[in-house]
Amino acid sequence: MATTNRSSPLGPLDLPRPEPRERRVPEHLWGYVLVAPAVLLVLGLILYPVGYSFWLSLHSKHAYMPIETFIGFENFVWIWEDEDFWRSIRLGMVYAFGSLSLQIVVGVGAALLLNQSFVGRGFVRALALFPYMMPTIVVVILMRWIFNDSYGVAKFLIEGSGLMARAPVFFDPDHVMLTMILASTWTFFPFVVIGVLARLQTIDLELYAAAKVDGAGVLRQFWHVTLPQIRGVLFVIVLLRFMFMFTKFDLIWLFAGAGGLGYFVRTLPIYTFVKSFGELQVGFGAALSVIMFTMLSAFAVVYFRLFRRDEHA
Amino acid sequence: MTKHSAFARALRAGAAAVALAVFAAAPAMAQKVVNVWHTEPNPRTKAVIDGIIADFEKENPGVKVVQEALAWGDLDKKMQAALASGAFPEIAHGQAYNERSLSAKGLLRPMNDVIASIGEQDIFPVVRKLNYNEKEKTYYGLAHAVGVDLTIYRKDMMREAGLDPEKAPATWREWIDQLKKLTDKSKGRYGLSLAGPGFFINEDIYMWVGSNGGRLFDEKGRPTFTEKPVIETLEFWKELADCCLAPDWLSRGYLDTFGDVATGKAAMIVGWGRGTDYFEQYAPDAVAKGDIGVFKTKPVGPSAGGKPFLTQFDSEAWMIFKNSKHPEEGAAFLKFFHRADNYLKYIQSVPVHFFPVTQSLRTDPRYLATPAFQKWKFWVDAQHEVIEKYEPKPVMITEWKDLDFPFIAELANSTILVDMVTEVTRGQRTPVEAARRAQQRAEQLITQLGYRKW
Repeated sequence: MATTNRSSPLGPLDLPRPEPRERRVPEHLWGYVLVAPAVLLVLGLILYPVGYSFWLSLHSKHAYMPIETFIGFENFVWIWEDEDFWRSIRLGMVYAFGSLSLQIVVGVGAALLLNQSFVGRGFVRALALFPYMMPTIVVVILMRWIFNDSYGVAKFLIEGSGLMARAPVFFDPDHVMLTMILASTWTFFPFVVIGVLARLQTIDLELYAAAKVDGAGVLRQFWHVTLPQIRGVLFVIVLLRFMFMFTKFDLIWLFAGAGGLGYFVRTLPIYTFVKSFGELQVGFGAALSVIMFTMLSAFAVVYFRLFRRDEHA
Repeated sequence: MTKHSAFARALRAGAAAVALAVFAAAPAMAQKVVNVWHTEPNPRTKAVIDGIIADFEKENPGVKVVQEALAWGDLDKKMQAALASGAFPEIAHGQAYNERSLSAKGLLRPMNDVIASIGEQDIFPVVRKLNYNEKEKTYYGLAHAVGVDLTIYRKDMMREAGLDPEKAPATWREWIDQLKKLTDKSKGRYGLSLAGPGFFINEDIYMWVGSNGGRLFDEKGRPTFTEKPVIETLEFWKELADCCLAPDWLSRGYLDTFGDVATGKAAMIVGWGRGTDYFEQYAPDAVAKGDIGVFKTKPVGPSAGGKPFLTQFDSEAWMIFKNSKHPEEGAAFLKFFHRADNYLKYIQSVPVHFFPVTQSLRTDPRYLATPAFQKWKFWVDAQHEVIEKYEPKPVMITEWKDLDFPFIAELANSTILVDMVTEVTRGQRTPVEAARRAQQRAEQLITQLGYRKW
């Protein structure tokens, strides 16, 4: 019978004796434990609502009566065939791209001006942020007053200055989208100013000096020095502001509501609200939310990829 | 002093404070709280309700009444949350169709005892008809006050246009002719001003369809938007928009329309008696000269076929929630509220718009002596005539049976009818196309909600 003999014929092996092992939690487990609260927070605050929305979107569910029926993807089929859904996407795109473009143009312009040295610059910089700090309801009341067709200041200035014999009716169906875009631009351009101005202040002035030596004028300096330097900031601003504007609810709702004038600016968030809390179809509303979420996620992914490819090119 | 003794002393002090707080809170905890949600945020009305509550609490120790005045839209949302969570108020206002829908779901306490305490036969017949559930022989609500939507106009502008200011148009054709004469677009003056938000378009469409001999639903609840009276109403609206409405009418709020009449931007509006305050504030000259008038009748459409006009009955009902904590105390409060003395004070808080639901109060000398009637008695009388003769109906209800359809609230809060009107008046669709689309959307909504019965 074979036996096991750890002793060598040459004598006992001089193996190091293992030290007594401590009963310790492995280090990687500590990592999990420490990360757990954050993970739970993310699961609870982000994944659960998104998951629940998706679950609701598969149901026909009344907003407050206990009526809930599983209908699979039927809500999505309704939406696909829904003329008003496609219209809300179209209007949302017009509003988001229109207000975003103007915010970028006005915001970058204002940031460039505020980056110059002049007396009272600090005060003007603070003033430029003012619209962004105003509550939306105040902005809406102010704008409705300014653009009112009977007693609005805009009408008074336009007609009084002789610019036009009759000022346009800002809140009629032909102009309400434009009015909404202008109001949004005024309210949100300071967001662009803050980001761009912060970046402008860190640009190495030697770059401008070198460009001047090479004979670049103001426009070429902007194109070849400033713009490449603020590109990274603009990338983030465009991404965020597009998402903010596409999902904007309060300003449009307070301006125009759902019906009447609201018909002409009924973007996807407004349409979703009407379906969920007007028609009380929470399941249908959840399906719209899921679509909106998917669209914006897809937009972010595509946008990142395009930008990165551009960066590496 | 040792740490231990300091800790013990702090512990004793804390325990004493808690005991004191519990003792002090004991009477409050023993109170039965009656929550009242209503839609009359007017400070005068709120003050009157506060007074009634104080008197009620004196008579009913142990009961506390808390009023909460909300805007209509806010009440809807608050009610949705309450229904979803089961945290019902004892008493709340609601539209007539909400009352029917909630009672059908078994959520409301019958109010026959409240009605009996007021005197059933004393209540105006049309109010009884509105709140009485024939099938169950039960009242589940009672209008807190009523009002009637009337045509309000500037007599001076009528005279300037060569029109008889006392002659109400009998037909839509006559009305359009009047409005054309009252419109001068070069001066920014329009014959009519209508409120554009969805709620008000719903109000106008059902009234005009009803005034054209039409209906919004058949017996089974199927929408009837493609029927001739609805199409004609849309054609009429298109003509109105082209000839006689301001280009921004869709953005005009309800109060804006009163401002339009007060400032002479529009000669006519449709609205309620609450606007008298507005005229007194912004058009005191016109009021002093008696240039603000109301017509007792409204015009009818070409398919009316001898049927009278339909106008809106402002008639939100008090409802008592069966599953609230103190429904019986809620009922006791409503009985107290409707005692003649208390109810008179309430009605006088908005003297023209609040028309009493009881016939005895209508003829009560104290009511007739209401100071505001010196200027506005004609308005109250016009409302009375409509209530007695023309059976006004609540919003979205062209026929009494419509009250029993469970989807009226969802349809009213959708944009289906509003979009139909908007598309026609903007020339984006013909009346037939817009009506077909609205019909299809409404049928889809009712199907999705599970209420389809045809």
